[in-house]
Amino acid sequence: MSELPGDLERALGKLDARAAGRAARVDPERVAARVLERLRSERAPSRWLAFPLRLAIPAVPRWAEVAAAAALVVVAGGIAAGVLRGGGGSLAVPVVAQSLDSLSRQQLETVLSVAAEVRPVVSDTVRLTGGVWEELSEEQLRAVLQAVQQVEVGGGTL
Amino acid sequence: MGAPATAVVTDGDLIARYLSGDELAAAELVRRHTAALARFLAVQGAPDDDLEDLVQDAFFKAFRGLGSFKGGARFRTWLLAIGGNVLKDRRRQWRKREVVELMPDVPDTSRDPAGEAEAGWTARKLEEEIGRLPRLQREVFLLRAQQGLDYGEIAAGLGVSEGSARVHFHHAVKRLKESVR
Repeated sequence: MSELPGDLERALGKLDARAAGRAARVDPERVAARVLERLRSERAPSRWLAFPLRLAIPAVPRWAEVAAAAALVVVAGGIAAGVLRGGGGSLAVPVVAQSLDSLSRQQLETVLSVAAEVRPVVSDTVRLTGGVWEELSEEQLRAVLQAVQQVEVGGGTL
Repeated sequence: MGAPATAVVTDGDLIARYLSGDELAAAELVRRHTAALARFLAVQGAPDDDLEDLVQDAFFKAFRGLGSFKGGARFRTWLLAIGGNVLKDRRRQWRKREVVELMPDVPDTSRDPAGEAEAGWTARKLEEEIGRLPRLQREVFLLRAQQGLDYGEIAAGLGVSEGSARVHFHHAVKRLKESVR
């Protein structure tokens, strides 16, 4: 039994028939093609490299992004090591740590490796030897790096 | 030995396939639900010129948000709710531009113009009144009376309780009944 009063049911039936006629003009194949196209184009930008070169470089495979990010961290670490060895010790870790939140776990580990290598005091006090930070969570790695940063900036000890 | 029966691929299967990268699954979902979605939007007064675009927008948003689709409601109910939001947003834009034609003058194709004139006029009045209903009343009413969904499904799709869905339906019917007298 219908829940609608007769008048309302008839009017809705008429209105719905018109709506169905208009809906029939919408082409599902065309809709599907356009929706997929929009989804693809939306996905594409996220696969671009996350630095200024992205304007010139189209979508690249994931492995290339990871390699580029790793190379960036290693280069930054090398520069940091050079600065530290040259006596500008308070600059290196803060420079790297400015973008702490954007670093992946792997990148955090790499930065800590570099810090431990160029600053023996770091590895002596926090015991940052290989394998130790594999047991730490990403948050803990960030906290360690922040602590190292504070020590470097403040000139204190851990 | 007979051929095995054709397996029915559910919406849930297609969603899982799409989420693992199968675009053909998404296209199949669009094929399945375009007519219902377009009808749902058309009966609320979506203009013909914008209907396909609105349908496209709703599907796009649905696919983009599939990660948050919990499966408490059917995909179609969830999609129609998204369609309702897309239409609401679009109306807001139209109002800003002041070029709104909420009730397009659709030619009546009935074979008996004299006999159907009054029914056509009543249907148009009803369309206007549906457009004026509060959003939840309108959507509950259409999901129930046009799409034939049960209250449990409507409640899950719109994120309200079943009792609340019944109350919205009751209020909508009461108000619409006046408009067709």
